Amino acid sequence: MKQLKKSLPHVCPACQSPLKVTSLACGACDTVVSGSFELPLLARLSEEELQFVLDFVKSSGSLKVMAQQLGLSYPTVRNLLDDIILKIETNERNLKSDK
Amino acid sequence: MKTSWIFNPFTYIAGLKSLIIGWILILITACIAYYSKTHFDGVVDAHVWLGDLSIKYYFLEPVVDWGCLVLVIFLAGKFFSVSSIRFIDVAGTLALARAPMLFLAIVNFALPGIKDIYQMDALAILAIFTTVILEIWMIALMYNAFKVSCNIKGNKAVGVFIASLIIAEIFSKIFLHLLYQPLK
Repeated sequence: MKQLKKSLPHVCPACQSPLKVTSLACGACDTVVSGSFELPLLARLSEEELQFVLDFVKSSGSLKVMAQQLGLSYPTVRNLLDDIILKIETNERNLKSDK
Repeated sequence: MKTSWIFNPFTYIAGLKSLIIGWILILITACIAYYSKTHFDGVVDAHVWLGDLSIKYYFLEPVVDWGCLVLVIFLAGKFFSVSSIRFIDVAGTLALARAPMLFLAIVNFALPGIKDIYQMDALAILAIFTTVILEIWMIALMYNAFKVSCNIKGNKAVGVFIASLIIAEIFSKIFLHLLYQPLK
């Protein structure tokens, strides 16, 4: 049977507000922890954006190395990074205004 | 990432690499333009002049056209972009964006100076149509070069690009007027 690949939802499908974590479960003993936890900023990124951040860290923050690895030009990679920075900053502002 | 190589090769090529490729194509274009009598007398201009001009003008025209556009776009990028843009990316991508002019210089062999538009044959009409397509292609490439090298998007990108293109066109016309001055 084909394995279903699920992605972590971070926005409410009904009202588009950011979602919170309300329970965490242990896979080994089925212990469940309940509460209200904020999703970390990086977890609010899309799968592609998160992969970009991981690749960026793995390449020691070198955009030139990233560009070579991805087969893209330097300004394209820099623009992708700037878009992610903008998204993180917007999320940060939204989180602060929610509190 | 779906990006057309025809309209936006800058997703893959920029900086020094595109500057070298772009300038090789510009020099080849200048050689062909000398024989097809094509003059690039403005950032987006291309006209056939039948006058007997020295070959140096065919090489100086693209330098002025490219130089004016690079300078204006770089300054616009520095002013309007939130990213830290590099001069080499602006210079390189805009050099490669002039690639369609190589084909235009070749097409102009079919346009040996038209004095009366009513006497144009089918080949000349087809050549004019082709040059219009090539001009649109070049402007599309210039716009994408600007978008990628300066990271400006949406309506702001369209507005800043159009304004930059008009300013660069005016500058290039002034500098080329000074360049042609000794001929008059």
